[in-house]
Amino acid sequence: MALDISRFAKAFFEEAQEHIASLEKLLVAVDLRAPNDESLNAIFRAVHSVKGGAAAFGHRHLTEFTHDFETILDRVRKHQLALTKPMVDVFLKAGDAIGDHVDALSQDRQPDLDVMSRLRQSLLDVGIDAPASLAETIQAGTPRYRISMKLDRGQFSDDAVDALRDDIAGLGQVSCTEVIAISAQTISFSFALEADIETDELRESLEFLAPADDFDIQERSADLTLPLSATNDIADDPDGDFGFFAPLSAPVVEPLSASAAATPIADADIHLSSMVDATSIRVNVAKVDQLINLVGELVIAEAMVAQAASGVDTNQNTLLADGLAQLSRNTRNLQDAVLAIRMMPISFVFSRLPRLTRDLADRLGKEIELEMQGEDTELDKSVIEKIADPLTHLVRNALDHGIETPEERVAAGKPRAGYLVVRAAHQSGNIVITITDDGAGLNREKILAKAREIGLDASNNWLDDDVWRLIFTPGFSTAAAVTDVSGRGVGMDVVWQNVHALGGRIDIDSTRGEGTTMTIRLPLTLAILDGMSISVSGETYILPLASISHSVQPLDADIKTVNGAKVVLVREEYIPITSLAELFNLPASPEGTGILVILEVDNMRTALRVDELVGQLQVVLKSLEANYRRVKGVSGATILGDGRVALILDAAYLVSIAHSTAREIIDFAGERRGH
Amino acid sequence: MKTILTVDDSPSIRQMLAYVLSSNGYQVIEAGDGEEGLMLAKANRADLVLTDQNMPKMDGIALIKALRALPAYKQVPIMMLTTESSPALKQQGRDAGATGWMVKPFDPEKLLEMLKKILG
Repeated sequence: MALDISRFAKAFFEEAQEHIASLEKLLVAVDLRAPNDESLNAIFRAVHSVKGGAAAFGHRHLTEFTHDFETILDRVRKHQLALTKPMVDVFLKAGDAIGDHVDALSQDRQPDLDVMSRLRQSLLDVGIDAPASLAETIQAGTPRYRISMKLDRGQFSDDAVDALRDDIAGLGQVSCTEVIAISAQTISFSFALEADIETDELRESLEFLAPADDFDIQERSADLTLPLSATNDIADDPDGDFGFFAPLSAPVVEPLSASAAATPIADADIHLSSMVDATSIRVNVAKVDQLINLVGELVIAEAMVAQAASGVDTNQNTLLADGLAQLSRNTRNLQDAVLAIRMMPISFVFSRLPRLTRDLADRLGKEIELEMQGEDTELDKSVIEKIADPLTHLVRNALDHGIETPEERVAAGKPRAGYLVVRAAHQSGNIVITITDDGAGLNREKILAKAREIGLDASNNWLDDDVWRLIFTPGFSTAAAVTDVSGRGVGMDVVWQNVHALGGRIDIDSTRGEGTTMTIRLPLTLAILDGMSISVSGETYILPLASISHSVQPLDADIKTVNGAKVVLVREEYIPITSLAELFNLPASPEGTGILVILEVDNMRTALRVDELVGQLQVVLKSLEANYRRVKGVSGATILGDGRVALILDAAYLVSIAHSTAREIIDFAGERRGH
Repeated sequence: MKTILTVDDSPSIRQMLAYVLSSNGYQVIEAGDGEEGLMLAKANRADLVLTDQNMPKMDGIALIKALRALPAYKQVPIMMLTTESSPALKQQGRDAGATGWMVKPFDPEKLLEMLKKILG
């Protein structure tokens, strides 16, 4: 009977990735001066577990690699080998290689064996005399000879490896060719050969093919063909896959008498260990997304029914009214519950930061202590995916530009090591992520100078907040020398765009010499939006509620024209007016009527002239980009209760165009505010 | 029906063993580490124990020693599952009281063949 065990291999891939993730976490956290035994053991076990699974499921390359890796880790945990930084570097890379290899296997791709071979060599190098482990892999069931060669690439072309393999194949069966290392001068590789000839004979044959000094022959040792033969081991299995320490002729099992305490095994016991896993299930994201879409449609349908029934006299149709109220409540609850499925802890993004910080600090020659808080904070999976890059970029920037070198820090009377805190928390329906460093802080003069250099009209009178915001301008970078870490001047503007595309905002708070805090505020989900529906020239639009500060019905006297642009005086402040009708080429509404909705994004304001505020509502977001194309000033669309499509306005865009065309007015207003 | 206790910290290996064994008429009890294995061994009566070596909390060798100290498990066959046929590890297993060893990767057929040899 053939048993198909391939479906368990999938579980192994996921398991292996979890082990690799914990390996990385442990390696990054390990204290080189005083590594504690517990974490050294855990590091060893992570790799060992991968090896166990790899072996069980027959992934030979992975088994061999993890075996060599584990051999070194074993010596480290036994304190036979002192853990050093270069070692940890190699271990991290080895972990990455295992991750890539597992990825490739799980996707039925050909794993990159060259990377594996190179790292294997690095592992052997850091373990100094670890090659003993290589000999150990030549064990029962593997070919008799392992021939290692190192050829001068000046004398032999790389094709020589294949030619040699063909030649050696004439002696017996070549089962494996492995390139161990390639440098500019030499190439090292090895063959596994099963041949019925003696070592001396093999050596003579090989000397025809390559100089004697360039190769080495290892023969499978006799005691490995018959494991434990010295202790009378009985190798029952011809291939050496299993064996017993004593002959099995004697009844090993105590005969079970019928009455013997053969406790019946309850099902609960059998599944004891798997029960823990049963509290969660893995579901394809596509299924969850489909569910969210369907609930979205249901919410729209519910709104349609409610609107259609709004004209009905509820006193006469109490059943209908009750039913509708119940439908509305349950639809909301269902929507909340479904959206909660897609919520994931932000640790999925945070988890990459320790490694990033470590690698970057190394490259920049800085010392950095990273602290993460609120890793369990949950937000929508789609938000997590889109915030990962901006967040990583901000951390990178803080490390590169924010935190000073140890020398500069000491000179400034600060601790040598910079301190970086990344924190996530829920705050009134939003998620707030802050990145705080205790570095040099932003340099006001430098930023203003740079702004003028790239042709921006920047004034020394500007508030700090306005100056800081300049760093989000495309092409802006004050880094004196462009490094490969950051400072290419692409990035901060992309970060700003990404955060705004998510309906979020970034605030900067910086004090010279003390550090900088970047605060990202994001909605919890992208699937629904709290909006205000407005009408302009007979069209209905949705404004995100979060961007509305308030609305006013202005007196004619409050509206002024400054340099040809209209502004309105609201609470002692002049705010530029944006006409949606003008922007979207709609027939103009009669002058003088209307309401001004004050939009506020990143402390910038504009007054949007609309005809009417229709009402607050929760809308299901539909992507305009996916269904049509990107339109400036519009962030998406939704379907209203009456079945019509309404566009959702991009408040950030509206504010920014008002702001850029009316810089002078803001300056004027700024002076009036007393700064 | 013979009952086999499998002790391994890898769920995928446990699942695979459970599948192979239960589809061949064995009752399977699974444990994720030595401690759990010992607890389940006490609570149930296993006819054979298959244990991994490297596990958190209690490793395979310690489990074998602990089992052999129990009167009920003096004679029960205990097989070590190992990734390498390291002579040193085998010697440790032998000293602890293991019945034998089996090297991963285990081909399901080989595993069943081995069990048949032991359990008849």
